[in-house]
Amino acid sequence: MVDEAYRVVVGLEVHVELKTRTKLFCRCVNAFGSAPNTQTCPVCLGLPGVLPVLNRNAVYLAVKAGMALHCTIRSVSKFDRKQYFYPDLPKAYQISQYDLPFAEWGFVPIADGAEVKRIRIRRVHMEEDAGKLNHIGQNLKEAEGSLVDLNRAGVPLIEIVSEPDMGSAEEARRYLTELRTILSYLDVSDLRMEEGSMRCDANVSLKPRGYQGSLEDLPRVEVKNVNSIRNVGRAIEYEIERQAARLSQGERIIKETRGFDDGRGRTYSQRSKEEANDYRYFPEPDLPPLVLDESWLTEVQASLPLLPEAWRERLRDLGLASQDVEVLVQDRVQVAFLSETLSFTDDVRAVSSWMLSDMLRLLNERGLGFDQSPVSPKDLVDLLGFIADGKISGRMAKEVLDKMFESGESAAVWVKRLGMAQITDDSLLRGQVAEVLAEHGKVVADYRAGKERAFGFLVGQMMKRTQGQASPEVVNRLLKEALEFDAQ
Amino acid sequence: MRLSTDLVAYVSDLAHLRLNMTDVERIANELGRVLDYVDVLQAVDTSAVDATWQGSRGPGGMRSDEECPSLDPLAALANAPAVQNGMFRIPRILAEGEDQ
Amino acid sequence: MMGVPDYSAKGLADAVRSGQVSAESAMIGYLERIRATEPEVHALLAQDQDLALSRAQAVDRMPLDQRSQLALAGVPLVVKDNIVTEDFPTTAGSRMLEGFRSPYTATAVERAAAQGAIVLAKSNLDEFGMGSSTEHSAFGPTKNPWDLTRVPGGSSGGSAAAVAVGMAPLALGSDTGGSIRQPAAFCGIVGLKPTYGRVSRYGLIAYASSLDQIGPLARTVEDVGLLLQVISGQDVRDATSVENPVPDYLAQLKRPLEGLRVGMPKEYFGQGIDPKVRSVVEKMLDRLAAEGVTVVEIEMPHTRYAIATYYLIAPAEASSNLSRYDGIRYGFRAPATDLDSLYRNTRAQGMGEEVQRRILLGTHVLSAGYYDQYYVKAQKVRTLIRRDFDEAFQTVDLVVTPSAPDLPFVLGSRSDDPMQMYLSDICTVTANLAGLPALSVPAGFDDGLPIGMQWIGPAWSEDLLLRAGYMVEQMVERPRWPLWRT
Ligand SMILES: [Mg+2]
Ligand SMILES: [Zn+2]
Repeated sequence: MVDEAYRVVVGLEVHVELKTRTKLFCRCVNAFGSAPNTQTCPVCLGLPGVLPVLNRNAVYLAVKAGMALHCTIRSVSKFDRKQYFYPDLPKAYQISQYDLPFAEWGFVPIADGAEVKRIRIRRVHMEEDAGKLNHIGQNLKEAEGSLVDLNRAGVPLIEIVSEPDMGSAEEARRYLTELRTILSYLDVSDLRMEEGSMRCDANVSLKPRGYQGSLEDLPRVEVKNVNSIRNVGRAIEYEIERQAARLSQGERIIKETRGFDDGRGRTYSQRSKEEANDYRYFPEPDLPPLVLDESWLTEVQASLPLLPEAWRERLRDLGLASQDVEVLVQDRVQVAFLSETLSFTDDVRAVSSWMLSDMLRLLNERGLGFDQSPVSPKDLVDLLGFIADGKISGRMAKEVLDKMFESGESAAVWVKRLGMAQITDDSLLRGQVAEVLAEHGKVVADYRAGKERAFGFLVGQMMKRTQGQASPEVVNRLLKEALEFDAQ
Repeated sequence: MRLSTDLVAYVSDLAHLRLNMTDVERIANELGRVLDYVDVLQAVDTSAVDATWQGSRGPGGMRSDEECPSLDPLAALANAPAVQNGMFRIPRILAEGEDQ
Repeated sequence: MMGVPDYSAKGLADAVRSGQVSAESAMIGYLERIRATEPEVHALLAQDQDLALSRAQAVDRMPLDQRSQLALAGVPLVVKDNIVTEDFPTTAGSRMLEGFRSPYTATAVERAAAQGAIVLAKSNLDEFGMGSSTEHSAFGPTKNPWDLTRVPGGSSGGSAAAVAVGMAPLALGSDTGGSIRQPAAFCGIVGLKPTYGRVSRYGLIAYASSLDQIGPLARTVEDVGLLLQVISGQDVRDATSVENPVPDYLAQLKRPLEGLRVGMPKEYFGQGIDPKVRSVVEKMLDRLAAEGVTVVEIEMPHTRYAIATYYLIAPAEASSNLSRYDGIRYGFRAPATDLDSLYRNTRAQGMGEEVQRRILLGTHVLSAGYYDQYYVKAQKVRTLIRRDFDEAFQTVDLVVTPSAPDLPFVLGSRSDDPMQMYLSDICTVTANLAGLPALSVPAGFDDGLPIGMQWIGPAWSEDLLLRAGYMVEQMVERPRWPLWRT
């Protein structure tokens, strides 16, 4: 019913904390989880007389993000003050970027079946984070007071504002997932939604069929600060249902800010009265314009890593199945691991299948990522080399890999130590083939009479004699040679 | 020109300043006079003029991403009118009876 | 005048460096002077005599090779109370910050102290620097030492009065629209507003960020140069301070200025300027002309918009800068049971009338629907005012004006009329709007009241301004000290 009468219009505003050593405008450490107000200084406390000085590394990380989102980077942008009173905002203004953000007009590609849809990015700007309020009591409403911790005040953020290009909760989820993957490749942020280093506000409206006006004019509901990608999807789904129900009853949608109740899966109104949003933006007089050198921008562009979209294409071209590609590309460190193996081997299929099965199992058991693996990309390739050369079997290789994980030693060391090298030498095996055929005359006769299964028995006998170290391929070949020779 | 008392009330609301009614009247007059005076600017043709937002005539600097020790939390809180558990204490954010 | 410490800062520093005079004995003289004059002048908000003495003793105890490196060895310094200091409370003249102790010290103060200067007191000011008479201090007005019934000017009135009566040879002030130069003129001393970006603003409690600048006040031009030398230069904590070499301001100070071309903008000598002021400044220009200086009349057509421009930009920035005084992290807090009342009562009770007036004006001109009409317009006219100066400096080296449109006025005579008070900045605000350096130096007296003349130069021309000021200083006959109590 929703689909017929209305079109869903979703735009997302995502705040991402940048992974700098220090805050955006002061030299306090940028770290999560410290004791309250231990990471504060006169500047981020907003004491009388202080001035902001911009962190060059924050600019670098922000510009990387802007470029990876295919934005145009402004060579001259500026900072502005966004003014409002709240206890977590020490100066009663947030230093942000208003009309000249450093990055504009980019996009994030998301898969839509076989098609790729581009969700447009309107702008990316830099700003400082606010502090944290701890309410004394169950919630804001019950609280008899609140306590202000300013450790987070002044942490660098980028705010990524999309166009209202998403037509469903599913598209919003895909956009967020892809955005997070892209940013993870750049290593510009921890991207932990549960810790608040990535936060999402969703703007949801329904466009009635035949509506001719601009999307901006549709009554829009902003769902604030949802704490996981899954919940962003749930919140949007709930909003679509709620708004559709209201519209179908002839009620109007109120432009408002809503929160999301995780437990009940519902959004709720956060402010009853219409807030006056008169932020009185004006250019920050304490910070000179941000001028980015053209040659520096070119360098940053050149230093960007291959992004998920490009990796997908590369891995598909190398012959990997799309499901495997998708799983690999989701995780930056997986791709980095795979990428490193490619400088030692062409057999990307073998690598990816070992990575996604045994490697992943062993890493998960230890709670490690591919970047912390005791088995390096080179180690893995060496191990696969033993299989390819017929020195060990796949089953043996699994055992060797286990040992490599435990000890951090190479495949060569363990193959040798376990005495696992396969016997591939024809002259060593030929004598035993002759003995086996002599001992099992009846079976040989059966085989010659056309009983195919008899061959398997003879192979088994060979493996038994060699305690499993004979190369199955070589045994097969020698047995066949011997049987055919005798038959003549 | 006299500012409307509504406008003065709106502005004092934005500025978070409590004004009583006589203050509002007085300020409506005073601000009105100043705004009358500054009206001379409207006669200046600035159609081809860029704004000067900054005081500086030279380029400004950025800084390296190197940390400096933060304040001792006791020093950070030393001037605070109310402190609890190492944090700045404020009264309830929603007034009694105010709906969320 | 008994017991008046009769040193210049330069002379004192030289004597202390060589060991001829002990910093302690000099300090004792200044402290006595404070005890004798402060009760009537009320120039100071906080002082610490014990600390000052122990600092002076420390200078005396320093090894000679260390002490001889200090440009301001043992020189007492008064610091305007909107410049933060760890050793003294800092109030900015406001109830809002009564009892506030800054955990850090302003760069300019640090730099002076590193050169051996000893801060002995914080000085009175118009609350947050907003005023031209020091009557808007929450802690009572300062009196003009030349006539105790009159104002010392403002907002650095405490610094100017303190130096004028000899409480210290040097003071730091701040200048947003004339707050160093006008009180310097009213108190018969020398004051300089440096080029914007010359002196770090770190630790200066912001009034209007794009206009504020810290600068020196002293009884002589040379001392102003000496203090400027020490506080100038880029600071990593102020992104608007400029990386530009600091010249030796004293090296050329006394060399005659041959062939100097001085512009006299007619806009500063006409309507609104007290004829007595005009006549003193014009007489001085005549004498300079006789010395070979070329004085030409010039036009600066946008001068008439300066006050309007200033009283839009400054309150707008102030409304934003003063929002942090919310009663949460420091300063005054009014009793309240909910956050909204806390904000509104704290700010209404903690800040004075003039400050509230400017906050409301500034909030209005930045608010939705008025921003372009007022704020953006003013910033564009500011560009035109800058251009007037840029053009003037194509033909002249320096521009000369009166420092203030009138003589020191009687206490209380202008407090009812904000607009009238705003007009007393008419000669000085343009240098702030244009970011240019400007010096006020005494040009003469009328009936026992000092009159100052202002020199405005191109950016970074402080050295030239000081030389011009020095030349004037040599020609002015003036009483050595205010005569109210000999
Ligand atoms: Mg934001
Ligand atoms: Zn900090």
